[in-house]
Amino acid sequence: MANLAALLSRRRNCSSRAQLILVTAFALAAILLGLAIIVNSAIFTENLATRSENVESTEALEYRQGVTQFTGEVIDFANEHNHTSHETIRDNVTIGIEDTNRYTGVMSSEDGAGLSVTFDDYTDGARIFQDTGDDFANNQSEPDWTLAEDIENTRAFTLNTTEIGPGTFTVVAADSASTDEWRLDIEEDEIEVTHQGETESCDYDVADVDLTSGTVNGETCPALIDTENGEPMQFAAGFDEYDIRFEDGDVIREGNFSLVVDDDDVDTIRDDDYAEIDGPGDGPYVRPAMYSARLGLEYETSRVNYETDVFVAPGEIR
Amino acid sequence: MKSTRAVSRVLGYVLTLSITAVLVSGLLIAGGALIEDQREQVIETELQVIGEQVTSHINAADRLNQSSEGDQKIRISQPFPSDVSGTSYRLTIEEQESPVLRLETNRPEVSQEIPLRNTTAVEQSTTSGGTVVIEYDEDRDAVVIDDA
Repeated sequence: MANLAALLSRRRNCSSRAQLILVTAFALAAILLGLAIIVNSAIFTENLATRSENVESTEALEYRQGVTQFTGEVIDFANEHNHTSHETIRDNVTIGIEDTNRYTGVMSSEDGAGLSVTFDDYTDGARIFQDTGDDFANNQSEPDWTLAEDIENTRAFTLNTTEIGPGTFTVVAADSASTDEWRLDIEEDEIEVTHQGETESCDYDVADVDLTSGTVNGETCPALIDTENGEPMQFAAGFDEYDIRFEDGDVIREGNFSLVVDDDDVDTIRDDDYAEIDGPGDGPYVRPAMYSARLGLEYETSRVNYETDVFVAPGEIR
Repeated sequence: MKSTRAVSRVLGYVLTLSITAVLVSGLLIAGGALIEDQREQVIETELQVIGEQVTSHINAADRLNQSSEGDQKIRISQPFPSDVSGTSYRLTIEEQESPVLRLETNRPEVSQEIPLRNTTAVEQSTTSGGTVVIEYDEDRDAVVIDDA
C-alpha cells in the first residue's frame, strides 16, 4: 500500500509539472495572435491605400459634362434648322433632350448607374447671322449699324473673315447705362481690345474670331480673356445691358458672323438693318432661337447620389 | 563523496522556478510592449489611409458642388473598416480657420489629422468608423459627414 501511495503521489506530481511553461505558451500564443491581427491590419491598410474609390463621383461629372455638350449641340442644331418660331425650336429641343435622356440612360445603366435628364426651363432669344460671305455692312449697305439694343447676354459670337481690306473694322459693345464701351478693332494682321482705358492685342491672320470663347483661329487670344490692371477684357464685361454695333463693316470684304442674344423680341430687332425672311436683300438675318436651357440631372449608383440643375448656353462667357 | 552534498532539492526547485519565471516574464513583457508599439504604428497608418480616402470623397463632393447649379443633392456613401486593429475609431470634421478631418481611437489613444482644402465650406460633424456618408447640406451650404 505504501508503494502504491508513493506511486500515486509521484503521478500527481508528474501531472502538475510544466505549469509555468504551459502558461507561458498560452501567453505567447496570445501575443502571436495579436501580431497576426496587426500584420493583417497592415496588409489591409496597404490594400486600402492603393484603391481609387472616386470613380463614381468622377463619372457623375463626366455624364454631366456629356449631357451639357450633347444638349448644347441639340440647341445649336435646332436654332440653325427649322427655326420658324420659338415654339418649333422648343419642340425640337424637347425631342432632342428626350433622346439624350434615352441614350445616356442606356450608356449609364451599362456602367451600373441610373441617369435621368429632364427639360425644366428655357430662355428664348434671337440668332443674328450672316451666311452669305458678303461684307459686314447691313441690309442697306451701311457700314456703321447697330445689331441689337439693350442686350443682357450674348453667346456664341463668332466672326469668320476670309478677306479684309485696308482700315479697321470695329465691334462695339456700348453700355446702356453709361458711355463705357468695349471695342474690338480688327485689322489685317492684328486685333486689339480696348475696355475701361486698357488695351491688349493679339496677332491675327484673316480667319476666325470667337469673341465669347476668346479664341482666334481656334487658339486662345489673351486679349479677349485677360484681366488688365484689374479690368476684365472679356466681351461686354461689367455691363448689365448693352448695345452691339459694327463700325466700318465694309472693311471686312468677305465673311460671315453669328451671335445669339437673350432678347426674344425678334420682330423689334429685325429692323431695316436686316433682310426679311422671304423678302429682298442678302442679309444679315435675325431668326428666333433658344438662348439657353435648364435641365434636371439625376445620377444614382449604390454609393453616389447626385442631383443638380444643368444650365446649357453653348458659347456663353461664364 | 556524494555529489548531492550541500545541495537542497527544495532550493534547486526554487532557483529553477525563479529563473524560469524571470525569463518568461521578461519575454512576455518585451513581447507585449513590442506588440503594443507595433499596434499603435499600424493604427496610425490605417487612420492616415482612411482619412485620406474620406478626404478624397469630401473633395469629390466639393467638385460636384462647384460644378452644380440650382437645386442640388450630393450624397456619397463609402464603406470603410468599422475598426482598426481591433479598436473602434471616430471621424470628426473640425470646422476652424484651417479645417481638418480628425480620426481618433481611444484605446490606445491615437489620432491623425488630414487638412481639408475645400472651396465649399465644411461644417463640424462626427461619425464613427464603418460606412461613412459625405453629404452636401444645401441649407447650411456646407459639406458634412454622417453615418449610413
